[in-house]
Amino acid sequence: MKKQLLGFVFLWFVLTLCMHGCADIKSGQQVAGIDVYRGTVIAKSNKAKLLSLEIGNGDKSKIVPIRFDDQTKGLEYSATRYKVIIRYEKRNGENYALSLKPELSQIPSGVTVISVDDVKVLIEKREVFELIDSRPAARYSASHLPGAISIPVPQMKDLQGMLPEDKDTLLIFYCGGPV
Amino acid sequence: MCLQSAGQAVLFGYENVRVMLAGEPAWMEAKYPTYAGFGFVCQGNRVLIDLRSSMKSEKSRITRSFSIPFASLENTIDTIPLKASVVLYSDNEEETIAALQMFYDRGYKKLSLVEGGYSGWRRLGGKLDSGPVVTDVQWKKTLLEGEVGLKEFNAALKDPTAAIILDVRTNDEAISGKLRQSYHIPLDDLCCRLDEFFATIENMSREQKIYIHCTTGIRAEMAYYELKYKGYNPYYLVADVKCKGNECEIEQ
Repeated sequence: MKKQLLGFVFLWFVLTLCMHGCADIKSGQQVAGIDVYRGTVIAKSNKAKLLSLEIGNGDKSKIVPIRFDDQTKGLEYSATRYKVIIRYEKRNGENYALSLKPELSQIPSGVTVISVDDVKVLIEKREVFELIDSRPAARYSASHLPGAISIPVPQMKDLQGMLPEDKDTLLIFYCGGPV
Repeated sequence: MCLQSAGQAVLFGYENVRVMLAGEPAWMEAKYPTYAGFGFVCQGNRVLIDLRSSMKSEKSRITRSFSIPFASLENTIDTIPLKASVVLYSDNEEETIAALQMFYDRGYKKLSLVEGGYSGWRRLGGKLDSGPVVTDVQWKKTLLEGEVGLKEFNAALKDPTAAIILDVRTNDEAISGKLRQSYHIPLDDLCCRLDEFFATIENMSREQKIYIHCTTGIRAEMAYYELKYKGYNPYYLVADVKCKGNECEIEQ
């Protein structure tokens, strides 16, 4: 009984320490200048490694520049006109993106995002998957990714038969941008 | 919009569904190769370039192609209109890819290859020409089915009786700037709010011309198909549209 009580006291002590410790880390993050932007990607330059993000609406909207580097996570979400949440920190007075996440409402559940470079690797490795071009058929005809098939958005139900029978097959959809 | 298709695939029961969100424009931006479809190579409004030697080209080439041997491309590339859809082929894959990079580096945006090059086309039984080669590249922009030219679009801005201007960008985009003369409904709302929306427009009829725009033309084209399907008389504008306040810069 005494041992149990001692145990509780010890647990309480550890918990208090931990909570205090956690709180400390949080304020520490703020000191380091990690913050969050929510906005729409207006432009992206791979050469300059720079994103332009529009934040706020209407008259109050403004465009902020955010740099990225090889450590930035989630760059596959940085498509133009796409809404993202960006964690960033200040380095030498400039914003550096640490990670990008999409605003969740836009992505249906069960669907994940893949980057252009990862698709390129899959094509080069001749992996088994189905690549689907969702744009109007005329766009597909003018230029499409290697191995892609054409199923325009309005015809998804009618052309369901073009999809592979095996429901485990990786399907990758693309169109003319994020909207 | 492909998110909609991907969501649909999940409903069909597919377990492993992904979306390349950045889309075809980002693929082109990364200067990766794309292919042209059979119909586009054969009949499309494209500049088709045979990179093989003029001797080979004279003997047999894909129908309506221009002969620009790879070795002389560097000197002649500037004679090819920057806005044209350029399709390349050869019998040498390395040269094809090098030529593609050259076009990308010069700022050409509409580029694609013939899958499998010259022999790939022969295997498909595609149409061939022979005889003296054509080296003088000719190309004229033509409107696709349902496309409205910039001239007609601008005329409708001045004369509202010519056509209704329909803006299908998102609410956020329209808030930050929109053409004074335009009616706005987001592409996503066309499915369900269209009739109710058109009921608010005076003299609206099924015959009324509707000119649709977005920021590039891609969503406008999608809206075109949807309105056409619903029995209206739409046209879409392929142009970059940037708006601030009541003014928009329109560039083709």
